[in-house]
Amino acid sequence: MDVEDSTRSNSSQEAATTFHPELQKSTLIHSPGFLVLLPGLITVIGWEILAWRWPIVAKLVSRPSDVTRGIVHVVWTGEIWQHLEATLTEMAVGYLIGALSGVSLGFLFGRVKLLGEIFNPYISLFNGIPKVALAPVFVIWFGIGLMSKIAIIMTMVFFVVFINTFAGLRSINEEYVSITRIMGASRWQVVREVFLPATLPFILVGLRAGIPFSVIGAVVGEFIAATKGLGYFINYHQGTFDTNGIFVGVAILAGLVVVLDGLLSIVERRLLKWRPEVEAKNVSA
Amino acid sequence: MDPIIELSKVTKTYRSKGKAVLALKDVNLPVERGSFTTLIGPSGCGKSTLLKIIAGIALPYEGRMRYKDREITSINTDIGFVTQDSNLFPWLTLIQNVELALKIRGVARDQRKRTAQKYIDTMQLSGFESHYPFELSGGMQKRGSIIRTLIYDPEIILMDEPFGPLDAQTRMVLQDELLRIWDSNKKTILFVTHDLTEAIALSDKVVLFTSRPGTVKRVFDVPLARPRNVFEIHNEKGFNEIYHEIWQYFKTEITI
Repeated sequence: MDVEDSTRSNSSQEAATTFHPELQKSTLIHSPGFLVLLPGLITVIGWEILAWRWPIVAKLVSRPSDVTRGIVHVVWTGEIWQHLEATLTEMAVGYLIGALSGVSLGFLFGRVKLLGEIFNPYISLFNGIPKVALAPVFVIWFGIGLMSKIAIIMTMVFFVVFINTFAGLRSINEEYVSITRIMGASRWQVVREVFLPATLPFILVGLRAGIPFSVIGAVVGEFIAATKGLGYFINYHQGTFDTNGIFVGVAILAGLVVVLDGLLSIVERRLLKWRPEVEAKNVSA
Repeated sequence: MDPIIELSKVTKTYRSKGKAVLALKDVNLPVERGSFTTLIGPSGCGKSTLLKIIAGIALPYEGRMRYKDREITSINTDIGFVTQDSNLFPWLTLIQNVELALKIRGVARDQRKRTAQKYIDTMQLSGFESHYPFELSGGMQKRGSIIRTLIYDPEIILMDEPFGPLDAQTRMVLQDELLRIWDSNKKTILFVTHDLTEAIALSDKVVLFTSRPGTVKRVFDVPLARPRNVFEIHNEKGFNEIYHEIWQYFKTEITI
């Protein structure tokens, strides 16, 4: 979204300067790139004013300037790094294992018809279980260290990637498969030429949805029992009634999700440039 | 008489919602090498199923089917299949779609690019090589789907109502192009349609199917001279007679 909106506003600005310099101002105001920032700005400014006018507000929800100061402080003193490192490690390992097993098993169950049919109800059942509810069990099994968080994240990411891959394989146009087989493709060539590219959009949806899940998994695991991590950081400040500290942790987590999602959306755009919806947006930009 | 395919007593039953449906019953059909044969019949009469059986993707079936001098029991890769929808792979550019069969058959990259380009040029698709299917018109997609089949030089080309979804003008242009390609390479073409005019305009033989369970009702030789002008096929000598003759049999199979 962000990348796209900024390119859109850039190109309209360029067009404006090239052809009608006098229109530049109005173009800027009307471009969605600027409008996107408005609600955020209004909220932050309003929040700051309310907190300044009524101190109780600042006590309950802190205020933007303090949160910013808090972030700068924890970065400057280096206090945040061990927490960030712990959370990122859990996320990276859990996410990778979950995503890889989700894609592989999604392929297996999606293409081996009998397996898919036998396990379909179980898949729906397990998908219905809120995975965070399993977090306490994982802590019992794997202790309060890295392993229990990795297990939680893995489970959450696995399911969202698995379900999407599975759905993708089930939606494949069988005529593509027939055409490719008639051309002389081996089983492996059908996988490479049809199954993989046709399923890719679904896999990417799963991978993108997996990012916030991996953050949730890490934080929940750290809430339950941990000695470091951003969830621990937030939990610790809750213990000391330090709302500002909580908001510092939350802001860092939110930033993390935005950055990771942005990276993956760039990858997605590259890989899926054959899709009309993506292309159409680029054309209008 | 040199049939490249010979079907005898081909019968196909498939299961639908737990019930056995008889799609084809005792189809006997020799297809001559190098001929243009059209299968025509009411919708749902199993014409498409027959094409799939010939390609080896609707197994098993009862009866016998001989291709050259062998029995067909699995996918026949000597065949090219043009489906009703263009079915170009949306994730491949036009040229990548066209060269796919050569890639699968292990042809070196340079060579397959050259061959694909040659076909693209003859179909007036030059300039669109790196476009994705969604950026091409229906007619262009159809041209693409035809040349991606021609490129591996199949012995027989099966076409399942390929021009059905196109508008009338594009349709005639593509019929004309198809006839010119066929004229130049004399591949065997087996073409399914439910449009009688199209069947007569294109083929040497029109095979009329009954409604389900489909079986061959009658085979007509089309006496029109070649090359034919598909744009004014109604004016070709003998068109009205053959149209009228086939229609007499066709109309009794159609119930609305």
